Amino acid sequence: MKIYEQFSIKLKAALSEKGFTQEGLAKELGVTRSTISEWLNGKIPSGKHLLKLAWVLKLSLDSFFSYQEESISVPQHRLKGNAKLKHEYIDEAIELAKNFLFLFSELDEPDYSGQISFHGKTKDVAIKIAKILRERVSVPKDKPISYGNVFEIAAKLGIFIVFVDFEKTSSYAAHTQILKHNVIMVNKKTNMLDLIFIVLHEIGHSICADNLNGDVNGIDEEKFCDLIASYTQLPEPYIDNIYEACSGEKPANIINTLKIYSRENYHAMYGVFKRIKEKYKDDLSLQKVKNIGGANTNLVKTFYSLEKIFTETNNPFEYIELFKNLSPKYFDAILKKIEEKKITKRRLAELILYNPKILIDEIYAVLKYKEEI
Amino acid sequence: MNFVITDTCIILMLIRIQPLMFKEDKYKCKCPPVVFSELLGNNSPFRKKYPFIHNYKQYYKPYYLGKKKEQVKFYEEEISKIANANGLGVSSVDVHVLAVSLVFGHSLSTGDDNLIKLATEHFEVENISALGIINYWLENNLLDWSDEKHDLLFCWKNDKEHLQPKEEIKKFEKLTKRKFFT
Repeated sequence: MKIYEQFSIKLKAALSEKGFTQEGLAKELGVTRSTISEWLNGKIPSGKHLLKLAWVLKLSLDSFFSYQEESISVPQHRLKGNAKLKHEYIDEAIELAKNFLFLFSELDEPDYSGQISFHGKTKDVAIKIAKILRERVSVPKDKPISYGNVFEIAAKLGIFIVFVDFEKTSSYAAHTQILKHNVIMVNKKTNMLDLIFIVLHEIGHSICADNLNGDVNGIDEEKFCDLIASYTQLPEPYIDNIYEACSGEKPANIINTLKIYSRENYHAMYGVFKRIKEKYKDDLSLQKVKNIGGANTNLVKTFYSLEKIFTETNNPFEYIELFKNLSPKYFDAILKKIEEKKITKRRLAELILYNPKILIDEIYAVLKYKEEI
Repeated sequence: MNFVITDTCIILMLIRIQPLMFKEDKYKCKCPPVVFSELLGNNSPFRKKYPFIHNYKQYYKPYYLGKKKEQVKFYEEEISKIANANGLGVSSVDVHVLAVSLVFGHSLSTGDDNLIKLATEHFEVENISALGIINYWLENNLLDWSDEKHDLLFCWKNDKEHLQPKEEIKKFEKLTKRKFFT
């Protein structure tokens, strides 16, 4: 947002409307008449005088300035059909995104060089996009995506990952665009077992939002993004390997096998089982497996939340390294603000420090002065 | 003019030198409750690192905005708009202390260079350093300097807070006839 000109025109109108003379206003504000005259001729007052002026005239500063057009959006297509995202989710996402607006106000335009274009939201297209994403981080064909891979994919697509508290809606994550930059807001309370899929799903929304071919037809975007996430995280050879390990086993053994694979590779049991059942629908032994949801719930309980991961170290260097690896683009934007001296320590703490054992002064010293603690 | 103590570090630096700094108006120090609670909140990292602060909880006195409460609230909203329009990253506490300083005509006291820059450049709010406050107390005979108090300055060095403004160091040495650090 940038303040536009025309301040003097709006001030003149406000004085006339409120019945103030230049002398009267000067007296109220404790400035000279010539100062008021300068303002009426186009000079913008300092912040101190602007505030007093607004208070005396009982007007918000919005009355004096115009702001750039709406700079935050949650893409509208997510309101369609039976999409999970309801209005309250969008409202909270936009409210949270406002906290990050200042980071983007002076950044260059987004870099679209890593963009993926597609026609039609179909399963085949989702699988193709998944293949491209996996190739970009060179994952072996039979391996699931790791934590490192998913954040690397986001960085390569120019996506900012930020961490927030969705206190009202408990959303896992939300994709938004701030001044055209793709931003994924991830709930700090998200369980690490769910994290990869959730971030990949939101990456899907970023890809859709940037698609040069516009809002193409096809299946609902939520389902399309689920497919992108599923096929990126869990490649077909990996699904086949799990099936081979489960095939012909009793239901309890199948559940145990799924649990082992899920725990080792950080994915939910439900999603992988759904893929196996879809692919091997003629295998009747799979139909006998019940209560995957319950087993998955128990497995989730053995994993930490993202928030907990941030509190594992007391060392500011290690903490910064962790943060940088999770969100390099966001980290760079914060560093830029520090270099420009445009962020206070408390704001920095709100944006970056989720560990009560570390002092913001320690983080600040490392980032600003590269000091040893 | 009062000093709005905006930093936990400044409280830690001064409260052992003059425990009554918030209790008695003559010391001119005001501190928002939210800043003091950063020191003693349940998750505060300061509690373990500076255990002496527990002994000073009783010396804290919150300030009241009284009739100016509405104006402070108005200023807070508008300061946030100015900050956003200028791409400045400020927290709600920063906005509050700036609003209080502007409405009451107080100085800030913070060691955060970026907050000082923002306060002085955008809002013409002055900043006073921790040593500047000590000098004010000394100049107004509100403080007797002693060996015990002088020793407390060494804690500043441990916390890398000894980099005080040169003119204040000079004034301090003149007022106390002691070297700031020997």
